[in-house]
Order: sequence, then C-alpha cells, then structure tokens
Amino acid sequence: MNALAVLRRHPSIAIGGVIVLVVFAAALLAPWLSPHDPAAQNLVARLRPPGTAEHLLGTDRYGRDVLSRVLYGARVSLIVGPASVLIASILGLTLGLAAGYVGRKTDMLIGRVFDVMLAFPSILLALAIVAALGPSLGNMILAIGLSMTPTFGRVIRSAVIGVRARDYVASARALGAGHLFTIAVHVLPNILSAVLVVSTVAVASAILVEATMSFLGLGVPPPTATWGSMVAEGKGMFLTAPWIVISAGLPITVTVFGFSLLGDGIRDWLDPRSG
Amino acid sequence: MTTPAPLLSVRDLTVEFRRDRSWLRALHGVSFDVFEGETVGVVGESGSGKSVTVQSLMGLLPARSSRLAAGSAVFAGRDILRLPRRELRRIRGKDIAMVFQDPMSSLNPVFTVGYQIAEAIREHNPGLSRETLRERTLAVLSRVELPHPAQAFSTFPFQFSGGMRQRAMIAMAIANAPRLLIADEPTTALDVTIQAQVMQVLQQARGTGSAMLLITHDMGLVAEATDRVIVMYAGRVIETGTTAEVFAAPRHPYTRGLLASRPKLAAAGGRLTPIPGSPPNIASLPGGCAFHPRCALHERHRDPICVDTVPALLPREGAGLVACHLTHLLGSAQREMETT
Amino acid sequence: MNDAATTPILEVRHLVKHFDRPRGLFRRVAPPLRAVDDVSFDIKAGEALGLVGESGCGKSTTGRAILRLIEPTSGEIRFQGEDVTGLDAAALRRLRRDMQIVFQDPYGSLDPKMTVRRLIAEPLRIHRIGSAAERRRRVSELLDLVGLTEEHGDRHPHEFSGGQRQRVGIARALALEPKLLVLDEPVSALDISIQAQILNLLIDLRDRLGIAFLFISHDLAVVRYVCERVVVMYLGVIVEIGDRAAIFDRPAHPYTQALLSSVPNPDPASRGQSRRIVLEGDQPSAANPPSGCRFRTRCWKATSRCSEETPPLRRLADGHLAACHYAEV
Repeated sequence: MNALAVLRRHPSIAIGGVIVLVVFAAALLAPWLSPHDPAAQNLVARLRPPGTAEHLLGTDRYGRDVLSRVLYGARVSLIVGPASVLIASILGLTLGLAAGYVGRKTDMLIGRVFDVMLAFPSILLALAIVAALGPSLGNMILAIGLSMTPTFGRVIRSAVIGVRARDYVASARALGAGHLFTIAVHVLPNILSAVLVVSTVAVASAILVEATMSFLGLGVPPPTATWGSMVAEGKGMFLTAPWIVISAGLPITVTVFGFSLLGDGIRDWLDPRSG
Repeated sequence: MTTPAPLLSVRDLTVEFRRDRSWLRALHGVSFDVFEGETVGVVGESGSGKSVTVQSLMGLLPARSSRLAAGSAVFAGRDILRLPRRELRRIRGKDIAMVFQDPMSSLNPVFTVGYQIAEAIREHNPGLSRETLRERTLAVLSRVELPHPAQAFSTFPFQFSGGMRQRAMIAMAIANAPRLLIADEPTTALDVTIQAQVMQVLQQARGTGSAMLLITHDMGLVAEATDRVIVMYAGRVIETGTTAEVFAAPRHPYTRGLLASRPKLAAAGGRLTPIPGSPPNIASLPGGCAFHPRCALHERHRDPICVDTVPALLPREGAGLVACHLTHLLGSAQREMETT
Repeated sequence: MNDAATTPILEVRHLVKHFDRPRGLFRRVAPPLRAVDDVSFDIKAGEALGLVGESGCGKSTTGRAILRLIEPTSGEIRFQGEDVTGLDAAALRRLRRDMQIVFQDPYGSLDPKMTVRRLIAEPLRIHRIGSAAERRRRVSELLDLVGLTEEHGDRHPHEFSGGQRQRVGIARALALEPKLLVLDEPVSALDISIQAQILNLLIDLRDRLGIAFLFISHDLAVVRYVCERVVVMYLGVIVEIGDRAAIFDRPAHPYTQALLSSVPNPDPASRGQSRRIVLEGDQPSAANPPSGCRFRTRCWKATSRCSEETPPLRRLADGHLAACHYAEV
C-alpha cells in the first residue's frame, strides 16, 4: 500500500498531518516569515488593532508585533510538546514493559508509584517540579515529561498484559524464543500502535500544559514569546484588545486538534484488522 | 388427512446488515414452518444465517445496523416481524420463549433466580398473589430438576455452575408454558456430561404441548432431539425434511458433506471425507448456487447452471425440500466417490 | 525399528501442578487449585495418544506443563530419557526443537503483525537455522506440506479463515521437525466441514513424518479418529488408560462410560436403542476434591469404600488400566 493510498483511506492522517506540518513550517521559518523582531518593543505603536500592512495581527501593550510573536511562539510549543513526550514515552515504555511483562512484585511496585503520581493532577506535578528546579525550557520539558510518565506507563502496561496473555506469545516461547526476543518481536510491535496513538495525543496535551504553565508564569521566562504567556498577557485586555488572546489561543486549539486527529488516524491505519 | 395450520410460518425472510456504506444480505428469502408440538432443528456453520434467523424472529436484531428487507413470520395468525413493540412484548416470554447459549446474558446477576422467574410469570399474569407466584415458581424450578428448589429460589445466578444456570434459564423460559421455545445453541458452552443433563431437562420440562426450534451446529444433537431438520448454508435454506430421512439419505451435497465430515464415535470407520474450502463470507458470495465452489458434484459434472442460477427449493423424495440443480445425480456420484 | 516403536519418547511421572490462588489482606489462605494431581503416562515414538476429559480436568495444564510453558509443581517429565523439569534456559531451547505445540485458538496464537511467511520462518530464526535463502525454501516446503500456496505466504493471518490459520499454526510447529507434537484442542474452534480437513491433514502428516502426538480434546469422536491410545482424566487425575478399542468398546471406569454415553448419537435410526447414563450433579471444585475416588460424588456405583480408599490405576483382564474399585471388563 503506497503512501497516497493510506492518506486516501485515512483522511484524518492527511488533515492532521497537514496542520502539524504547517505549524512546524511556521516554527522553522519564523525568522524569515516574521515581519518584526518578536521582542522588539515599540511604545509608539501600542495596542494597534489587526489589519494593517505593518502589523497584520496588531500589536500588544508594549507595541510588539503579535504575528511575529505567534510565529516564534510555535517554536516553544513544538519543542516542548514532542520533547516531553519523548521523555514520557521512553520512561513509560521501560516501566510499563517491566510492570506488564515481569508482573507480580515488580508490577505492584511500579503500579503504586504510578498511583501516587497520578493522585496529583499532572499540571500540579509539573508545576511542583518546575518550582523546585527553577523555570527554564529544559526544566519544563523534564517536568512535563515526568508528569506524563504514569499515563504512558499505565497504557503500555495494560497493552503488554493483553499481548502477553495471547497464545502467540506462548507459541513463541514454545518455539524456544527467549524473553528479549519475545519482547522485541512480539510484544513491542503489537503495542507500538498504542504507544504511537498515546504519543500523538499526548503531544497535544503537553502543548496545553506548556501553555498553561506559561500562562501561570512558570514556563519559559520572558521575554521569549510563547502562546501561553501571550494569552496570559492578553487576558486583561480581552475586551479592548481581543486580538492578542485570539491570535495566541487559536494556534493552540488548531495545533492540539491537528495532533489529536493525526493520532486517531494513525491508530486506524496501524490496526491490521481495519480495511 | 388434512395438514393443520403451522404454529409458525416463516416466509421469504430477507435480512441485511450494514457494512460501511452498503447493505450486505445475510438471509436470502428463508422460508420454513414449525407445527404444534414438534421439534425442528436448524443446522449450519458460521455464516449460514441460523443465528440471524432466530434474532429476527425474536426482534433482537440491532436496529441501526440491520434491516428487514422482505418477508413475514406468522405466529398464531399474526406477523411477529411487524408487530408493534408492546404487542411483541406480550408474545415474547409468554407464547414464544428463548433459551440462549450463554445463560448469563439473559439472567440478571443482581436478582435471585426465584425473583426473576416470578417476575417472568407476573409479567404475563398480573394480579397473582405472592403465595401463588412463589408456588408456581417453585413448581417450575422442580420441573427443571434443580436439586433443592426452595434453596435455588433465593440463589443468585453467579452462585450456580454452568449447567445449573442453564436449567434456571430453561425454567424462566418455560415458566409461562410457551407454545414455541427457541433454543439457540443451548448446550454448546457446556461439558458433554452436563450437556446430556440439560438436553434431557429441556425435552422433559417443556412438555408435549410446545414446539421447539433448536438451533445448533451439532449434527448429533439434531439426530437425537429433533423431528424435522432445516439445513442452512450462506443465508439460504438448502434442505429440509424429517430428521430420519435427511440423515439416512441427504439429497443436498452439502448436507451429505456435513454428515461425512464428522468422525463417528460408534465405529472407528474409514477416512473422513471433508468438504474442501471454507464457508463463504456474506460480503462475497459465489454466484449461482453459493455452495458450488466446494461441491463435489459440481466438481464432477461442471454444469454451468450451478454457476449461473440460484437453485430453487423443490420437493425431494420423502417429505422435504432440497435446493440443488444436480440432486438427481447425487446417488450415482456418491457411489463413484466411494469406489475411487 | 521394532525396538524404537516400543521405547517411550515421553515419560510423565507423578506430575503435579497446583495453582496458588490470590489471598487478600484479611482473608484466610485459600487452598491451592489442584489442577493436575499425580499424573503418570508414556507416549511411544510415533504414537498418537489422546488426552480426554471435560473442562477443568487438567488436560490442557498437563500439555503445557510437559512443554514447561507452565512450571510443574513436582514430578518428572522425561523426554527421550532426559528429565525436562530440571533443564536450564539453554537446554530448554534445545528441547523445544523436538517438542512443539499447536493451540486451540487459531485467531489468538498467530501474531497479527506478521505475514504468514514470517510466522512460519520464526522458529527457524529463533534457532538460527539456515541462511535466508534456505529458510525461504523451507517455508515454501512447509506451506506446501500443510496445503497452503506460495501466494498465501505473503498475507496476514486476519485475511485467513479459521482452517487456514490452523494450517499456519501446524506449519510453524512442524518447522523444527519435532518428534512430539502437543495438539491442544486443535479443531474445537473450527466449523465442522473444516474440522475434517485439519484432522485428515494431521493424520497424513503423522504417517509421513512419524511424529508422536499428544492430542488433547474434549471431543471423543475426534480422539477416536486420530488416536491409538487414550488417557481419560477427571478432576486432575487419570481414571483410565487403554488403547482405542479398550476405551471406546470396553470402557471400564464409570466416568468413561458416562462420558461416552453422553455424546449425542448422530444416527436418528438407532435413537433410543442404547440406554443413556446421565450423571447427577456437577464436577466438584479442584480446590477441594472429594476424598478417596474423586468421581464418587457423581458415581452410581459408589460405596463407602470409595470415599475411604483412593482407587489406584490397576490392570484389568484385557490389559488396560482403570482407577476404580469396581472396574471389570
């Protein structure tokens, strides 16, 4: 089945993929696409409404160009989202595999740790970690990654348990396969679609957490432009200058939507029973 | 001798299921009769349509993904396929009752067995006193030979073993002395020794007055328990007749194949003759006679009519029907097969 | 040759498997489930031995314990004279080239992500047998052996019918040229018309390759068709062992008699001619089996002796074994 046929059969991969690609392109090409320096203040041109050739999306209260800040903000979201999910999926995969495959005491121990972590809302956990380590891009990625680990671990653990109980795993063992071979050849490929689906959807929620933390002032320190901090700054002027909140809020929604759609599409595509 | 009117008369039953954006036909004009007091077996493999037939008779087809394309099922003078819900409920559980393969699907786990049977009785006999209800329930429980009826009355379904649960479900089904009992693979999930118990109970408890439609894939069960048999394949009835005649001289190559592909317990016997290939998928039924790609008779004679035309159900020798273009050649073909 | 045919390839001695049951914080320790309780039998090279009984009798557990897919609690399993129970991982791997299993569920026992060709090649890969080209050739041979075509090899299991999947399962099990094949209800999940295809395939393969079978099934007619000798189990113990004719024509244990008489007779002409033995009640729990003879609670011949004294498997006049105080031929 070639790529085109896949896209035709699963339009949500195409639509989600296009959205994600556009956001990536915007982030990558921000220096060339942006009409202004995102941090450059222009106190003469404060709170200009959108629509002028000079400031297509208007300016904020320091006279910074909103369009440029939105484009640069995409960079933060697209670094934090995938990077934290990478951390969460590596940790979650290791712990989930150990819990699900080894079982018994290992499972109980890891399960309890997850329970404790899940008792806190992930945003609270991330906030606590950042508060302890100090706000920076790296710490935020680590914090979000750690806070999402139990979610990954749980999903992977139950997927592993499901696969492990199947006769084809027993069948491989009966053929003389070792544990590592069994995990690599039978367990991993059969939970991969679950991991991939959770990952893409998790990127969406990681972007939301990042935005929330930036909104609360615990994200990447200013003056770096992030969508979350833009919403935070704009919220007080929503009635007089709604374009700031909307210009930053809309990309969050669209990006999250794009990743979720992509995740759904990938799940359908990877399931060998579909079609 | 005049033939009495059938208790249930199914005509041209045609049911379709939705897959993606199209409708797939699962039943192609199924017709049969069930007469007062008789036991009729419906046999077939996966995809034959035997379960769909039962589901449509009981109004249990999923409303959104299936539809009745044509047909009628007249029970005691009324078409139960087109009855308003309320009328249907009045018939279901009273005149027609059902025994399922999995008793847990029809027994509610949070009520005692006695309560559920009493409810089933009260539903159709409002105004009975508590004492009468209890008495009747206990009577029904002892009819299915549950060891301690009074104890069973206040037992929850999950406290029973599989065989006991199946008895409890039979008790519920016969509580209102139905005129027709539909049993869908009633013993398939049970062990052989328990299967024998349950079949015995099913036969004895329902009494002589009611008819039974027994849906099964087990030819042995059909041979033992039924008066007449209906053989289904790919959504069609392909042979009917008295059980004795169909087993002694099957007139459809598929029926013959089914009988030849089961090893016999009674004698070691020779080699089995399997039917080649697999039952077809309803999404891609072969043209003409749906059985022709697997048919030994077609293999031998290569008559194009099998590929082009769906065979009609025509009277066979004895009291029955068969849908095969080449059935007249069957006897000789069988002899040839045995000599080679 | 004659000698090889009588030497057992597998000797099972006093096999026991107890399953511990979970206990709660405040609950008393539950007695273990005695799934298999002191089971001994042999399989000769090239012989087809049937293991029959109802659900919960321990037949599947016995099959899996022999392959050490489940660790036996105690007992000895000697394969070609070597005790399997003490083997380390490397020796176990070697052993698994000679002992293989075909599972009941042809849907669950094949990895859905793999093509049929990869599935059949997997055992060769695991044991690093042959070059890529040699493996390809061997897979083609195996496909042909089980009645599948080259073209089938490139498809995934979900594109196949149950019967075809079971053929793939058999090809996988045969890839390493085992000497013993454990078949765990290999046709129970299949349509009747397909069952006969698979049964004939198994019989042909045994004739051609000389593999011994441990054929586990609840279906007595199928066992009669395939097996020369039969072991009947009830509630974790063996109640009767004998060759085909002895078990089916001269069953000595009341349980075997009841089991045989419970099977519906597919000949309506002889309906009602033989009297059916319908057993009372249900199989007791394996966690708390009856004292003495385990079948006594459902047996019409039971006396007080049956609850006090466990009947040993003893040899009857015609040479077959039954565990009943009152068995006679």
